[in-house]
Amino acid sequence: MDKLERAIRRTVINDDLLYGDYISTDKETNSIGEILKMNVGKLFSFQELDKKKIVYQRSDQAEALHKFRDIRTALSTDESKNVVMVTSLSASSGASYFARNLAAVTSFDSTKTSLLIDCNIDKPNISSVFELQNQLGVLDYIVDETITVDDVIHASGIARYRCIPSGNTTDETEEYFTHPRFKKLLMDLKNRYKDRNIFIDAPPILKSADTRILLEVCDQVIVVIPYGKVGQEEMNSAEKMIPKDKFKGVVLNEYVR
Amino acid sequence: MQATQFDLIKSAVNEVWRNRNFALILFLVISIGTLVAGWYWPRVYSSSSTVFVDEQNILQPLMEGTAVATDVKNLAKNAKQLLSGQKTKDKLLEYMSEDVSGFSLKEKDQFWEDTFYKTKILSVGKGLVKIEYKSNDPIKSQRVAAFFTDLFISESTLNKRLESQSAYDFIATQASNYHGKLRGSEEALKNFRSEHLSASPNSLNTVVARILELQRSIEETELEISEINIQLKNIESQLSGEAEVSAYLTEEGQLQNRIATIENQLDTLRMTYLDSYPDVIILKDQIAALRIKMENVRNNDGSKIKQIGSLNPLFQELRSQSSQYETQLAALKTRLKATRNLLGDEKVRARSINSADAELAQLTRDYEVNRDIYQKLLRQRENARVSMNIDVANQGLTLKIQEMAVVPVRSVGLRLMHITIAGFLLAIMTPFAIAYLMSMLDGKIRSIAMLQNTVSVPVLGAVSVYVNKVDSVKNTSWLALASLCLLCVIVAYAYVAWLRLVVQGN
Repeated sequence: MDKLERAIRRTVINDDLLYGDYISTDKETNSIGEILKMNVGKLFSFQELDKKKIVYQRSDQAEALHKFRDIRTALSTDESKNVVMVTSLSASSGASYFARNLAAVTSFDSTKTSLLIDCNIDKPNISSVFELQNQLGVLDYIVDETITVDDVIHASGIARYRCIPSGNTTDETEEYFTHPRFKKLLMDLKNRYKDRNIFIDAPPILKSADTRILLEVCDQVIVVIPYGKVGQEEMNSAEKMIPKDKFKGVVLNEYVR
Repeated sequence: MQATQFDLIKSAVNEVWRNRNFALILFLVISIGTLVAGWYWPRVYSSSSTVFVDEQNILQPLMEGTAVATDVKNLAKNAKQLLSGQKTKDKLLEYMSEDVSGFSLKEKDQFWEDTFYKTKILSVGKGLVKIEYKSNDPIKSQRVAAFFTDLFISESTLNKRLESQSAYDFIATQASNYHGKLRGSEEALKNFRSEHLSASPNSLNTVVARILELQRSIEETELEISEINIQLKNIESQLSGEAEVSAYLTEEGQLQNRIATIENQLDTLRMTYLDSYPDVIILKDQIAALRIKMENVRNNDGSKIKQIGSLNPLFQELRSQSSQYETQLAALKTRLKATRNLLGDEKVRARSINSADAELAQLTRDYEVNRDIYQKLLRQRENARVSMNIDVANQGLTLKIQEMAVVPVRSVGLRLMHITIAGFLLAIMTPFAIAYLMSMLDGKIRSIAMLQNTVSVPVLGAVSVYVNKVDSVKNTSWLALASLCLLCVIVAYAYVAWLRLVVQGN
């Protein structure tokens, strides 16, 4: 990664330009320079969002929009419980799609911001969806102590919506999420801004030990049930794993490829 | 809350859409597969004829009231029985000689068996027999059905002729039997009559009347006898009170009476006259004279008296009556005896007439029964003769072809049309059916309702499909492809139908 670019981004983050009103950030970035503008200022057009299947206000996907909003309102608004983990019961359940859109509807509120963290180490998807290939992510932060929190937070192309991709480190042997730096990252993110809602895109709970580790650090859990793929037994075993006080509820994903 | 029917159907449609490529392939495979199967499905042609058979047995009307004919129950079974013989086999092999040319005996046997057992002979209504044959060749079907129909009719006619012949023979035999019996009873009756000439139906009555008459006569005679006996007794008692001779008593009495009378006169005179009165003296003299006379009478003996006295007339009368009665009595007794003898004779005769009557009645009865049956049989024999003659002349034939066996134009059973239509429907239904069954049976979560039923935590909702423009285009192009496939299948069906209907003509 280009050192200059990283330096600029750090500056911007430190200046907290990224976490205010997007338009004001845009103005700020305009004053900083072209690279910064390209990195944080480029907003996805409606056509692009539609292509990426991310809901937006005044979207013609009224039904999908409505459903995401309904689910959003069901979540706790308690600021101390702003870390929401989205997991699923099996692979290809659409949990990432759900997490992405949940974060999007949350960011509709101009007083709130969303942060989506990609913890799907095996199947990362944020970098591709938000066009953040080769950008620093969670794993880079954990293994490389020189990288700061601000290095891994990227603009998503949507107003008040940030994201952290999984990163480029491909060391499979490492237990990333038990690492103290991961906890530190999460604590930092959680406590730094009260109006921020953090969404963790976690792997399927029954298939991955990572998710079970992540359960400890999150405040609320939503399980995405893929349509016609799981039965009662899987549902029950998932229910046993998740602490009752954190388990906010389940969502049926009606369309699974 | 369990998954409702609507949920299941929705799930099924959803599943089909989810696996739409698989569903499309399944549709194509099944629809084309059944089309091919339908094309190669063996076509069966059925040809049948219906024969009307008069179910009435020939013996039935003939023997009505006399004998009960066996019931012709299972017409089709009888027909099958009739046609199952070696004769039919030989005729069939001859008739179908083109088909069996070069066949070994065993193969011919097999051919016969196949043909015979594939021929259906059914009862399709009262008196209707249907003969049906099915094969892949319409002409063969018609030929076989026609063959069996013709044979059935000719065999039945022949059978019928034989039946009426045997019915006639049977009745004729019976008639001659009864003729002999009738002759026998006539003979017996004649013999009996000549033996018992007196034995006529009225003779018993005559005898009985005579017995009664005799009995009455005996009673009368007995009465008369007792009457006469009583009279005789009376006369005898009267006779015992009367003197045989009345003179003795009369003379002495007369004298005494005269004396008494004169004494009375004397007493009267004495009251007025003295004894010297002449009249008194005369009277005294008369009395003395009478007394002397009376003394003389008294002193005379009996014979002297008899001679002197006269016989008693009453006694005489009574005696004459008595003797008359006695004569009568003797005559009556003789008559009584004779009558009794006659009565005994009549009784003996009555007994013999009774036993002869019983025998005669039996003989007459035998004769009458035999005569009646014989007369009836004679009538029936004539009927049977007419029936037989009618059958011989084929005039009374009660077999009629209701429906001729024709060469079938269309095949029966499952035809291409049926198979392909069924296949097409099956091809459409199968993916949905599989999806429906899967939704119903696999127990996977497919609806909010089912999810709510499964988990204890809140169900936040369902995330629906996000169909963006790319997806829309994809879906549209897929639907276009599916429509094209459907069109291809329909065209293939139409082409096959055209081939079958226009080119092959069926």
